[in-house]
Amino acid sequence: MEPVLRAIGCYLLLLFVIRLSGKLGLAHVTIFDLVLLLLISQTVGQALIGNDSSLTTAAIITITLIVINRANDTVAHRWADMSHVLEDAPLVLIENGVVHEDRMARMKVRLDDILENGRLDEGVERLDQIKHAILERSGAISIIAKDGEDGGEGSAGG
Amino acid sequence: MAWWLLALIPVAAIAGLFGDGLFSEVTAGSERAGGTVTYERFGRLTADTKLELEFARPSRTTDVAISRAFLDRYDTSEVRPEPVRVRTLSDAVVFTFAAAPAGRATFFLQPDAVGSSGGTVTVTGGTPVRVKQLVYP
Repeated sequence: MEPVLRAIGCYLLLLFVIRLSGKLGLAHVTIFDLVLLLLISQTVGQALIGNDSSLTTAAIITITLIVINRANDTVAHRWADMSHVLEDAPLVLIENGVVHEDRMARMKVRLDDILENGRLDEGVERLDQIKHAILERSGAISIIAKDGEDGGEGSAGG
Repeated sequence: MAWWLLALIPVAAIAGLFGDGLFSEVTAGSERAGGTVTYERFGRLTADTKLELEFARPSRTTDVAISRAFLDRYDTSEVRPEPVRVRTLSDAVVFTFAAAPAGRATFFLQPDAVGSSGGTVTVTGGTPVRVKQLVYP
């Protein structure tokens, strides 16, 4: 019973902490963020296992975590309101060319990050070529270029 | 379907199929045996498990003999209260306890062998109580 309770406790703790800390923009994950993630995973790993290093416990914890995550996904899929609580929601940073600086400041996203994603994904060169920029639930920034403004249309002269 | 089968594993673990759980404890023994022994039906390798003895007739000193066939498959982490004497015989280990107010003794054991572990626990003047535990890897 104890491994199941430990797995549920750690899952809820991580869900709570990560949801409170907000979206981590994948565009600016630093080496320090990675080191922090490793430290968290090691610390939580120890709390999960405790003094019990048996194979059976490892199997119970792994299966419990997978089942809880699946239940989480099912709840989020079935009830849209719960999805916003459990999984966050996408956030529009640029809407029809209008930059929402307050949202960007809140999510610690810089204009450079959006432009970088625009260059990588859509081949756009300037801010006025971007129609929408959305910070997705995963932390990635997706860019939608204005019609005829993607890299393939050849706006290299600007 | 596969998800439901997977979901049964944590439910079975909570019930006690893989060690400590809601229905995993078993109590053996009686007044005639000189006391009762409570333990888990299932254990996990290297995970602590308990053997709790309750003496029916607490006396000045109580001897508890645990068969080596059982005890040799465990590391004894701790015994509460501390026995005043421990003797090792050819087929059993005898723990002598001074009179404890609660008339109880608890053995904290750590399995170090996978499979079925069986043996007897005998309290002074009583009949042997059979204990059996299945240890998972």
